[in-house]
Amino acid sequence: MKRFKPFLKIGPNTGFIIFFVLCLAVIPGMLPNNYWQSIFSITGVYVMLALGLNIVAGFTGLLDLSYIAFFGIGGYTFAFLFSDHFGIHFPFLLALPACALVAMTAGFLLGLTSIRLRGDYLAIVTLAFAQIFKLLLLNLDTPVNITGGVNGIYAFDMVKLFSLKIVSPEYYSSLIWTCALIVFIVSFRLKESRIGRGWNAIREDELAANTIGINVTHMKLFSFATGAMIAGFAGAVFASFQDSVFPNNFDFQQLVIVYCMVIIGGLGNIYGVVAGAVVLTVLPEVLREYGGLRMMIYGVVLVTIMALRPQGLFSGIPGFTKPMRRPDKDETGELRASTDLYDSPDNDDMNAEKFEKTNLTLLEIQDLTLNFGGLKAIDDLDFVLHKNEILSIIGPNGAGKSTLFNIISGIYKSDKGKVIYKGLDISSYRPHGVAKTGIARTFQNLRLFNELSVIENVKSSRFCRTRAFFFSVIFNLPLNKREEKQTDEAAKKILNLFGKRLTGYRYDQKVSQLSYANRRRVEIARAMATDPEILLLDEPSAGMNPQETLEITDFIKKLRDRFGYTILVIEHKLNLVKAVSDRVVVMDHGKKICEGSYEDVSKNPEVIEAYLGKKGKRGN
Amino acid sequence: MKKISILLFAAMVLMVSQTAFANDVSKGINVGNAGSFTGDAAAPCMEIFNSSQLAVDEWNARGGIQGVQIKQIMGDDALDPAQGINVARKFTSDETMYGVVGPPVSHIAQASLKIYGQSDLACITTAASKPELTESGFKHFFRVNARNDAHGWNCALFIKNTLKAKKVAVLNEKVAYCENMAQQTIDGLKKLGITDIMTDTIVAGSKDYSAVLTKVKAFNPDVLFFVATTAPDQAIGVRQAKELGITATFFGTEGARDKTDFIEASEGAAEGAYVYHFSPDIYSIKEAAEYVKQYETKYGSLSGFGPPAYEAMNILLTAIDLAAKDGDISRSEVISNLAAIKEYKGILGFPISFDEKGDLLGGATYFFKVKGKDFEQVAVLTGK
Amino acid sequence: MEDIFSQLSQQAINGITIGGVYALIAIGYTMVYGVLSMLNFAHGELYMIGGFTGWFVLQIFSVNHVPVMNAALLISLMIILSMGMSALLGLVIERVAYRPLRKAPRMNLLLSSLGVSIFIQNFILYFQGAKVKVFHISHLIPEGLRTFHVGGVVFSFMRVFVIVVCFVLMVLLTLIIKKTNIGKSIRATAQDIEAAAFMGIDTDRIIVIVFLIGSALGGAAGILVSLLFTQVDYYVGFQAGLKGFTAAVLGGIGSIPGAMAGGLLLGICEAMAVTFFPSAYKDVVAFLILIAVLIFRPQGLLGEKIREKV
Repeated sequence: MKRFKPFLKIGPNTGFIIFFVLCLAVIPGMLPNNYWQSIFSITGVYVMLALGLNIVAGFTGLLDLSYIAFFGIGGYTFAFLFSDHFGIHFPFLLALPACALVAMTAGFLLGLTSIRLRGDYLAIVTLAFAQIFKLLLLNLDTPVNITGGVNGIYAFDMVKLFSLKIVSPEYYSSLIWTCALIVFIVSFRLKESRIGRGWNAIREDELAANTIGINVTHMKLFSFATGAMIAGFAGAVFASFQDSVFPNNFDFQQLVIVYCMVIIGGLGNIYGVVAGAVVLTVLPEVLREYGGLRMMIYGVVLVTIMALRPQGLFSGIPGFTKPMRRPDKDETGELRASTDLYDSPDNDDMNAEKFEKTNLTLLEIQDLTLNFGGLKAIDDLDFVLHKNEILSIIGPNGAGKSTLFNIISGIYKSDKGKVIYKGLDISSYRPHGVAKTGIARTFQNLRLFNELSVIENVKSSRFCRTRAFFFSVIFNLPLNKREEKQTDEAAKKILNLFGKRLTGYRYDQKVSQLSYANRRRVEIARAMATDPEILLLDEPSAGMNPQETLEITDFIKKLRDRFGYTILVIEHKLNLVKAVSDRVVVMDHGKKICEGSYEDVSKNPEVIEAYLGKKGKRGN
Repeated sequence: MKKISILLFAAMVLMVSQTAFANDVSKGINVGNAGSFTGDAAAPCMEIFNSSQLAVDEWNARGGIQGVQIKQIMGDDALDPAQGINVARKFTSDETMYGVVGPPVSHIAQASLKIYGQSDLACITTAASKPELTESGFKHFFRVNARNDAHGWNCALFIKNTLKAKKVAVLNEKVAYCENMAQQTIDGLKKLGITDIMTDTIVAGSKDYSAVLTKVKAFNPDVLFFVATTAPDQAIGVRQAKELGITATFFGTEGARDKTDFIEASEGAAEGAYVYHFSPDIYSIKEAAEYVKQYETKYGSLSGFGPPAYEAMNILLTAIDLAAKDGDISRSEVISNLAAIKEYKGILGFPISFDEKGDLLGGATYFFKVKGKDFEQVAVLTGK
Repeated sequence: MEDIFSQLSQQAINGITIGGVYALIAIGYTMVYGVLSMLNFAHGELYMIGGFTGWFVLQIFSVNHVPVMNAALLISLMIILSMGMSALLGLVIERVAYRPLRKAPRMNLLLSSLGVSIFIQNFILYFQGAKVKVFHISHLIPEGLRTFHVGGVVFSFMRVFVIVVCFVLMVLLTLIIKKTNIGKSIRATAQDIEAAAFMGIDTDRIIVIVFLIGSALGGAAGILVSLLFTQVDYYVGFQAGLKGFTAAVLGGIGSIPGAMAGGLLLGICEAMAVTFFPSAYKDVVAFLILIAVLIFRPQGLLGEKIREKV
């Protein structure tokens, strides 16, 4: 099946656009009776719901079990605004967005209380909220009848769109599928944007996302609220279609059904989710399986897909996702050998700026202390980092080197002492704040966004240097266009610094398929993409062979010499340390035991003892 | 652009053709039965279904309507209004369906009222008693049972005069029927001068009423009016009340009129309890003897829900038959025939007529007491 | 004054009874969470299965609702078989749905357990119908002991029985955890599963044992409640499950004493809330407590704050 070209510049492919147009324009007139019309309409509602959940659970990886409650909030708000229940009669086109906004606000408020909780806890809180919501629906009918209780609210006003009366089921179907199309396009825009990249990063590795400058809490909250908004919108549309709302429309069973749709489609896979929604609404009707058997099947579906094919049924199918072929294999399936030597001769201008170490204090570590329970991880640590300097931190395992990096980058907060950057006390900054001020880091054990491609990993770092937000992204305003272009160029420029290793076909390769050395390089590239002043490299050559180590040594030097980064390196390979360092700090048991040039430090008896142990009585 | 032309084409396609819901008799005749066939109300609803089926079978044995066999179709809402709406949609889309018996549960009936009404599909309910159902302006809804305003007043009379109560506790579920019934009864009690009334709510299916019953015990009433929908819940209510040492007389609703699910399930705690019902003790009515025999042979023992269903289906089929006499049936014809029903003599022991709203003219409330393993009719009140 | 006092004491008894049950369910959640760091959504259904198993046993051994064997023996049989059945089911679930996902992302595990829960619930719905199953227990209780009054408070035999059995089971469990080698292995695995494996503990086996115990307790809770309220249906597991893990979280997820304390506390809070507010809001209390705990003290009453290692 030939791949459909994207219809809009950034957007879904033509096949799906045609599908949606058919649904909203042609199919309503073709259905045999009202019963099938209502099935068709409900399918549209479920498509919307599934797309919304896809944003929260699929893009961002939040297990939101309260999602249906927002569907209910939208529905009931519509009932309040569009019927005789309270005597409020909004015009239809105002009621819909109003409901979406109310739901979004509710989502925002719930999110505020719980978004910082770890995954499981978020699931529990959202579940509890959904339960409370249902209980409130059932019970807020005395003493004042707010929700109608079990009896629900029914008999709404007639829908009028610019004096066109929407009464017949066919019109409703068109209306619903038009709304579904809107949600579909919005999903797409969000996915292929800075916002989508931020969410994907959070899903893949929250901590790493934080350290490249993404305010994880805010973005999670935004995702949660957006999902709630879409659910609320769907709820209003649904309520107007059913002409009534009942508590049972918004219960746990519905949530399970929507989750099944998203999972069958594949978390994050927009096309798949639409297909999943259609399949799971239409199929049971066609098979006439109701009640217990249908839900039993959903249960089995959840379990088997999670176990056997967690990426969903619809991934890897042409037209639904980008093909899974590995870009590093050519048409015959042979691996393209990457024999390019990294060391391409520098044909840049000899007049290019060359940076050298200065004596300007850039970063100050003052009296830093951190205890883990009874263990002193960092003990009264004190040193200074100068602009354009390469400073190495060495020491035996457990000395506290990575812990030091964690404190600087804001992951841990020290018990005592300060971290001062350009005169600013950043000790209490959270990781994304630290990244924004200009300090970037890599991780000892690599924390890449494994399911994303090379270029997506690097592009996500540009998040903190760009501004485009919801409306800019949705409508592809000039700001967004400009920033996307800049992001793309910046990412490619940085990747090109690594020779041909990470360019060309490699851009779109999933990082989990790269060699270990290349993954290390991507992580460095990702750190560089935040436009930092200081780079914290945590064992950048770990796992590399001697040839690769040489390359990285040169690269680190180039980073300072040509690009003017200030670099703090943790390393174990002493030849690398010797080659790059202007100064060396030696740590042991959390303390600084020595500081100076490599020559001085390597001759220091304490240092030797720390590494090799005391000279024993046996032999010299 | 491509998109615009498709939309224009679609606009033309969007010509809605009005179906007049009128059909040739020979296409088939379906009647629907909307009820809660899964869940705790399954037993009474199945009794309704089976009784109606009995009527349908009898008509079919006589040759059907104009030679066409009648089919009864079950529409299960499982006590969920959302599903009730689906059932209504399904029934109204069926072109050969000309009438529905049910829904018997008030909050489901009110949720689906508009859909049936807009499609002119006649509904005869056998048990839905919320007054507002016939006050909404739709003409398609009929009842063979009395409404809550009548029942409420009669129950108040019963509580005051027969049960001689001065202090009354009323516990009700939050569904339309229960809320409305409780309210009507309380209004009646107040009119009769009883003002020492405690009210609280219970949740259907929660299995444990000890918390709220403890509050009732502290109030120490003469009568506990337990307004719930289903028999199993009332069985727990009467049992736990007894366990907690509540001495008040237990007074339940029509849903409790079930030998197995109320009397047997409560294992003796229900002895001496009272329930009210909208239909009389069928065993004491001469006209019903044949029906009773037929039903019991085929389906087992009867509580109060079956007979009105048999009656309702017969009335419906009579109306459809009348409409089919000219070879063509339309739903609106069925409705006008039903509205014209006067003095229909069936098995309920009194003639049935509908007033201009579709309500039963002159219905009564029947009161039963639990004696041993069965119910004994102890009073009939008609509002005086 | 005496009125309020007797009402409060009555409510307190109600609360302790249901609290004991919540505690049993909570223990199951907490034990599994302790070793696997996962929330087993399907646990509530094990409770429901316990109730159903008990009902079947009662049906098999009664004719016309009269038991054909000694009442005490029959009740014991019901409880043991219920616990056994739930334990067995828990084992199967662990093997089939959770073990393959040990290394998978957390969301997958949670969704899988959701799927299991939905499956079991609807399996019973489909094959047993939605109607409640009634327990005719009057023949199981000696005539004179049905109810007895102490002061203004009424105790029914079943209520006392349930409280006693809950207590006994909790004591048994505490003894197992604290005094036996298996208990020690369980505690070690709960603390650090990798370290425990390095120390020679067969962690797979320990996980199986934890599921066995936790599920058995859930099943016990199920049959006890079914006997107490004389009814069970396909839906009870869902509600009970939510309450159970509210209790577990309240007490501190991962802490067994916490689960016990959380359960009792939850039961009493609910009973007290009903005394002063409309009883329909009973369930809201539980969930509000849950949310409050998670926001203000996520580690619960007795749990420990865990720092994520980077």
